[in-house]
Amino acid sequence: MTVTNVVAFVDVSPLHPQGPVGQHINDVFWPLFWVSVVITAGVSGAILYSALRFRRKHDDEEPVQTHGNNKLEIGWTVIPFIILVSLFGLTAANMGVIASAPQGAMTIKVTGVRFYWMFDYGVQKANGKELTTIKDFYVPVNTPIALEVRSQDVNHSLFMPNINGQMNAIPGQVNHTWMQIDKPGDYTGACTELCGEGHWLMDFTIHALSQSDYQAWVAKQQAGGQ
Amino acid sequence: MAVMEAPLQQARHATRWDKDKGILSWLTTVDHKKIGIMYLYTTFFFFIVGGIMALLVRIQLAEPQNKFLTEAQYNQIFTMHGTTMIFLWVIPVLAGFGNYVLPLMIGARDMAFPRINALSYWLIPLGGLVMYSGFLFGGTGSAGWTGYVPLTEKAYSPQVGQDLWILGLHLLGISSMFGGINFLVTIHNMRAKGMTWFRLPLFAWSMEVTSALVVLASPFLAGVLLMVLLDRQAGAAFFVVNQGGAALLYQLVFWFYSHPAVYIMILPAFGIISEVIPVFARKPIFGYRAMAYSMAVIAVLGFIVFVHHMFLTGLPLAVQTFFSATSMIIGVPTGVKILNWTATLWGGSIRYDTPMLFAVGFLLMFLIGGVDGVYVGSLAVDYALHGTYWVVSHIHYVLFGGSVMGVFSGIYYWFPKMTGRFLNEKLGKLHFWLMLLGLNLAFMPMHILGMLGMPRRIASYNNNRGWGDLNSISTFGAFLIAVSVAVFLINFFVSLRSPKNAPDDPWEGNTLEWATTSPPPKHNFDVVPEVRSARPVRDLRRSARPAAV
Repeated sequence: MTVTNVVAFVDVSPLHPQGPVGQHINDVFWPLFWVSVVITAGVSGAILYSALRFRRKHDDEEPVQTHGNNKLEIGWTVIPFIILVSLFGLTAANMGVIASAPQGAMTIKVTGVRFYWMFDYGVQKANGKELTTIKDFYVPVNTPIALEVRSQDVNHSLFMPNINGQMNAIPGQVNHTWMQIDKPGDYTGACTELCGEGHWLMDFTIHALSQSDYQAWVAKQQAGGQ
Repeated sequence: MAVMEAPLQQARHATRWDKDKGILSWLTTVDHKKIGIMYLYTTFFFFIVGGIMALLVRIQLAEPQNKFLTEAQYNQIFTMHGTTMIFLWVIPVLAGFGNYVLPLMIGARDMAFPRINALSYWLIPLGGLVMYSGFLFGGTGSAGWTGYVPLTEKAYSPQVGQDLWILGLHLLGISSMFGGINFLVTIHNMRAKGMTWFRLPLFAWSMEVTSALVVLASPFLAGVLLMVLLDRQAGAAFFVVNQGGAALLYQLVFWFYSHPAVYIMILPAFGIISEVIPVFARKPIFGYRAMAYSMAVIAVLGFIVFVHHMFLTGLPLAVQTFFSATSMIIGVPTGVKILNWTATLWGGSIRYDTPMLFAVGFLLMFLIGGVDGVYVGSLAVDYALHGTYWVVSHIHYVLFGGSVMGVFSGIYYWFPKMTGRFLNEKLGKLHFWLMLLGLNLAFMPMHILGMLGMPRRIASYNNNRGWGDLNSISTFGAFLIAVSVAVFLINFFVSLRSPKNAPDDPWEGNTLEWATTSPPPKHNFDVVPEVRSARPVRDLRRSARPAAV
């Protein structure tokens, strides 16, 4: 891991959430992470200990022929069950926030097109056309935004890892997700569903602007500016 | 009269197909052992081809904005890598072990339907040939091994190679289904006297459960591929949205097959490990019944977890939540298996020949693949990790760290039975350590890349993303795996030419294949011993031992 890696790790990783949806994903991730680290370490330790401790010493050894132990086996059926059900409970408890936008959120329509994303802000420009951008996505900070995700051709997936994870764009249907960014700045998004040769070129930049900057940007675009 | 006819029929059989040597004897054989060996050779050939594809992918991704492959080449090559490794390697190589070992293990003369068995085999090279012939006609399938519509519709994948990919998969699916029916009939009807269901070797149990999955699930793959083919060739528009089709329908049917298929790819490896560990630890498997039942539970649950591949497709939250629950719960029977294998090691008298090294390697690697799967089973975390390199890492820990390690354990374990020769132990151990190191270097960095937001299936990435170093490590690991496979190949060909040095029962085996000669005669057994426990050959060894001991 070099410095650039660590920086990138901090910048786009879902482990460094920007906003409430990412935060809730993160709230599930970390308990899951620590539980899995403990389980992996414990079970690996048990495997390695048994594998090393009980090496054959004499060729005519005959170890005790244990066929099983019901109490143990019930134990290691029930305990993982309890752990997994708890982790599921934690998941389910956070899904309410992750899956549905709050009342009164502004709406932006996102359409996947081979090979770019198009963002429609639901605002008319002076020339009567809808205000849209491609490859650059402008949003106001501290504002819940409901996203309507569509596809114009094949399947895509709108991926903003540290903001709200992702949502598929599938032709013929409208998928709903939402986002909110708490801090102004530029963030990176991508496409995570194979869509053809230009799949990797679907990266886009999310420009999170302060609310006044965002209003100014919209006004400028409406007037026909670049 | 019947009594007199029997020997005549046998003689006719002998002249018709029981030739011993030469190419013709292989081309015309219906002997499960020869067919099993052909399965192993053919699938190993495809393992190497698929491995070369993997190396090409890894070279392309080793550094950002690499121009080693064009995007079109990249998409074909990673598609063929995935399709080959799943449908021409992991699934059929495990069926190959089933073919060779299963009838011997249950004390049968052959599979129930020897000629259908030969057909199952021959469909595999044919399917591979059809699929790969795309390279001669302007490009192979290029939409990934999952072949999602609309990308596979003619509008987006016009090349005939996509049709050949579908037809090749069809042939392989038919091969699997014939094989599955054959295994089921064989296990149900041809077990040795005294071999009750709970004296059945766990490898046979794993083939029973796998075959049930194959027979129940594969028709859905055949169906959905046929729908795509009809869309492409006959304008059926099952999935064409502006003609009343539904794109999402494909994923529902595809995953109804392909999630159970994940267990088709791992259960026989569970079976191999369940044979190897008790033999080398000199103990019975811990909790035999739990091991058998847990496979059955995995198979049943395997049918109700498939929607976790579709958490981001906009299905209702209630549906997603249900499948998130089942996906996490399926960790329970898998956990039981890992702990029972560990308990089999506990208190044992363990000997580390190469098969056992691979078996313990399997336990450690499959554990990682099991645990990192829980992350993407959790609906919330899946929102962030779906479609990233986390998933690539997960599938490779399960299928390489799990299935492939299991396959190599099986190869080192049964090679003496198949050939009468041991594989070289020193080279075997070198192979193991290189492979273990290589796979961790190749696949562990992918976990981090997934957390860094690297999408899977991208042909390249910009150098400002900070993914270069981890990808270089991963590429290095992939080449280390290639070196380990080269060591194996050298070992294989050298050992095959060395004098016969393996006795009939070289490992102190438990199951019936060790009661016959190495290699076994055409008819498998002169006398099939009566089975009185789950370890009949151990019983024989002990009854033969002088009473003074």
